[in-house]
Amino acid sequence: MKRFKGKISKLLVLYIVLFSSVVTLVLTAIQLRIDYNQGVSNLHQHINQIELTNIASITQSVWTIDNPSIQIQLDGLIRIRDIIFVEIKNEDGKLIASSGNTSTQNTIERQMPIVHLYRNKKTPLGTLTVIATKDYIYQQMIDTVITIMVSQAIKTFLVSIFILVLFYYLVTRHLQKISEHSDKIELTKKPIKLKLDRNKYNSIENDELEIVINSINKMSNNVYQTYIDLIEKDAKFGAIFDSLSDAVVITDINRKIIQVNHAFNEEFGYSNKELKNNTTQIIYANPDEFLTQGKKRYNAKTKNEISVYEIEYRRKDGSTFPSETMGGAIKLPDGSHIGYIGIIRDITARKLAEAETAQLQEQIQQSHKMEAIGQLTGGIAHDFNNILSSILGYAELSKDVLRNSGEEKLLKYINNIDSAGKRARDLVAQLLTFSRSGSSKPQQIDLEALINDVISLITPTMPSSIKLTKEIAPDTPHVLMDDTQMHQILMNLCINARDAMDNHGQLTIKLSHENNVDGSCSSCKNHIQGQYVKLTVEDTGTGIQQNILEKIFDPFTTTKGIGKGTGMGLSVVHGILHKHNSHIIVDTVTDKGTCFHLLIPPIENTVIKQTIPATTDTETRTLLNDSKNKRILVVDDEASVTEFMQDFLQSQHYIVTTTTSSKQAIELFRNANTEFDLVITDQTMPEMTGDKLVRELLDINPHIPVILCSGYSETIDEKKALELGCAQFLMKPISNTALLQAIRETLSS
Amino acid sequence: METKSIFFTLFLFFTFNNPCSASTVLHISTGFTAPVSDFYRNVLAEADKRMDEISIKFEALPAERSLVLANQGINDGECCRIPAVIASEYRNLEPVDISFFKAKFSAFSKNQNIKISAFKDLKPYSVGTVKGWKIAVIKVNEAKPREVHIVTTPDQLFQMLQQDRIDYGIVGYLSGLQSILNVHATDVRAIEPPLIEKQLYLVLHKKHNALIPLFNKTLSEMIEDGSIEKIYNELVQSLTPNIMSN
Repeated sequence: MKRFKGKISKLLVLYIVLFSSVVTLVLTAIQLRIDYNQGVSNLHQHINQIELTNIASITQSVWTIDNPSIQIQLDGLIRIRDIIFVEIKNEDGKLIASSGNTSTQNTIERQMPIVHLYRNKKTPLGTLTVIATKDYIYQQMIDTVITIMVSQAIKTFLVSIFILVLFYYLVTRHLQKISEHSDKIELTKKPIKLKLDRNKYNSIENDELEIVINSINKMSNNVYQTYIDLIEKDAKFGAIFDSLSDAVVITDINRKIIQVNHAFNEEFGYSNKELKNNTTQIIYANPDEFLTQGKKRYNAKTKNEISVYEIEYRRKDGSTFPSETMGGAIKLPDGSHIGYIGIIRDITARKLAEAETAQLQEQIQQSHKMEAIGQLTGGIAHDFNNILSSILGYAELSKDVLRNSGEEKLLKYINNIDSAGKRARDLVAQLLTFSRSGSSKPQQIDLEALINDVISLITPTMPSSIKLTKEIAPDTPHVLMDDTQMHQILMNLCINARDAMDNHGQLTIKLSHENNVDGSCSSCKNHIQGQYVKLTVEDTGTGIQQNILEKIFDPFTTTKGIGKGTGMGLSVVHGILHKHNSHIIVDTVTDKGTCFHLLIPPIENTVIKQTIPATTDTETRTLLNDSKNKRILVVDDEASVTEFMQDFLQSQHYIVTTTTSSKQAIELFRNANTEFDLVITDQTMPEMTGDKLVRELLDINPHIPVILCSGYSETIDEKKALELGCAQFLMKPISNTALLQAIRETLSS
Repeated sequence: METKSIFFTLFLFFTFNNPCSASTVLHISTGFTAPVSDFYRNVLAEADKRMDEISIKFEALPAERSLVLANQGINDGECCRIPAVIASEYRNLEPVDISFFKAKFSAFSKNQNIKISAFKDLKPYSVGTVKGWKIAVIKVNEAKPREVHIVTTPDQLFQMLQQDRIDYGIVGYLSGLQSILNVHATDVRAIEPPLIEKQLYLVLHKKHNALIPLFNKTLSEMIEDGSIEKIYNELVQSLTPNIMSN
């Protein structure tokens, strides 16, 4: 019996018993219902029969009021099966006779009127009541139930046993064999064909078992073939996967790492064993990003998106690197989500290139900005210089005229005009310095000495509450700078430092030789690298706010009050430094202080050039006395300038010819070149620039001395002018003394 | 012509539907069988002739049914009863004042020599009577004779007398005469005097109380003029063609 104890066998028996029981119950219920209806029908028929056969005689007995006869008849009725009670009542409801009893409840009651035809009228005599019991019906039904149940139980038991045996013989034993065969199937081994022990008596061609066997054999072969295919595909995929240069990671839906390629191992430094059972959290530089990116990928998953994002990762050795990661959900063709894939590309190099590009762009922008401002200020300076030349020239002439006239008040006014004009000249000079167009005379400078000079100059202007110190490194190389401009730079920075400290703090000037500077210029934004002499002006003042820091080198930018600063100090510093291939780095901390580091290229073999003392006005005048009656051609497109020059030079006993046209000047010179001893020409003129005019004139007379004057020019400077053949190069506005000195020097050479 | 026809129709209508001129039909039944019922029929037929206001239809019914129908009003009267006996059960019935029939219960026997003047005299004998004759049955049972036989019909009783199965049969006088005739019990005779004599009265449903005086009057007249006696005698003669009684 053990072989029949399988679960299916139990279920089969259970279902057979259940189904058979249900069917038996249903059919029995139907049978009982039919029997009941039949029994009730029979009862009614009995009663009907009573009505048909007995009512006439009963009526007659009642009509004759023959009570004994009535009683006899009723007693007779009672003997009929199922009839348990009969009674007759007259038309007033009074009992005439009765028989039997009504102790049982399951009854059928019928009342039959007793009517006698009297004088052709139906005369009611009373009612015959017949009560029949259904007990017999119920008893029959109980007998039926017992019979059916017992017979069905026996039948069900026998059928179940038979079906069990049959089921085992036809199905179960084969299922056991199929099960044993399936247990032996191994994915990696070629499957063995399954055959069942069946003969022609217990099988039919193409029956269900044969179909199952064929399907299992086919499935085994297919699974094995699929396994072979998968191995091949896996090998191909692995080769492709590992050949990718980008790091690739595949995770499950909980972001636990399932597979990575070689590039991943190499990039992050983790072995596959180390990655096992880890989530991708271990590779995030910022662990919080693990959750953030998880949410983004989850959202992208719902939208079927592959996202490309930049994020920083951390290698096993702790180093981090920026990456461009392409991440997204992995879905099967049926849409089910099984995990995530991330393709990680190290973009460190790209980021550096981008940073350099950005810096370069910033440098270009800054350079363009400074160039534009320089051009603007240069252009303005040129026109101002022409105007100032006339103003200052005439002011000096007027002073000469008035000096011995006794007009003291008028002389005072003229002095004020001269003083204001000189301030304007200085400002224009600063503008030119910023635009790097001003003249400079680079020379080797010992910055230590220069610092000492500046300290001695500035100390008196410093409040005693500001401590002034210096830190000079020994053997600091000299630099090639315009001495005056270097003074100007250091003075400007010191004054700015003083003003930033609000009368309290410390001003430190440092000088050192830096062999390996690596930084970015704060004004031109160029990258600075190499050997520099570093001159630092450090204060403990309020510092410079970031929004202002970007603009401190722009002209007319100042944080000082109205009238306290021109806003040109740092612009001049920028202009001078960059004209001398130098740079400046600003370090500032709000409320802590600011450091200006001037980085100036050092020079070797220091030779300190002796400064030539300036010639005094008196000496100049003396020199000029020897040059009177010399003939001078003055060329300037500005009529006010030529008019002044004519007035001034004639006052100095020169014979002056003026023209505002460079072409006319050539014409005049060609026609009478031997009549002129000197040509003084402006550089910037509409018809022909000064340098071109000089070439023309020298072509006509190579010995003619020429003084080239310029208010502003990008194309000419002192060096170029001298190379061109000019005797002198003067920057406007030119003081009368300087002009006379230049003329005298030129004519005397 | 049409006018004459209409008047004739109206004349007939009013003539036969006028309550004053129409006869009231009275259905009067009796619980007695022949020959008593024949006596009643003849008397009431004579009375009917004498009462223009009513018309009597007579019929014989089972004894108690006759009373029930009259009491229910289905019939109009019953003939005839002892009022004191039925008064409590049949309250709708009112007797007329004049009795025209005296019921007699007599003892019949082959033996005329033994004097039986009361029911107690029957004690030593085998006695029979007829089911339904309540007074007779009661009295016989009270007498506690040696044997009591309650039979279904008078003819049955007289056959038993004729065959000597009983000594005395107690039955109504006229019925006894009829049974003697029926079963040819020629040896059986009624013993005088009757054991019971009761005056019987016609009873009417109370809805006909108004007719009682009419019946009183008519029946009195018939008694006075000997009509009833004549009817009775004719009946007795018919029942005793070979026997002289009284």
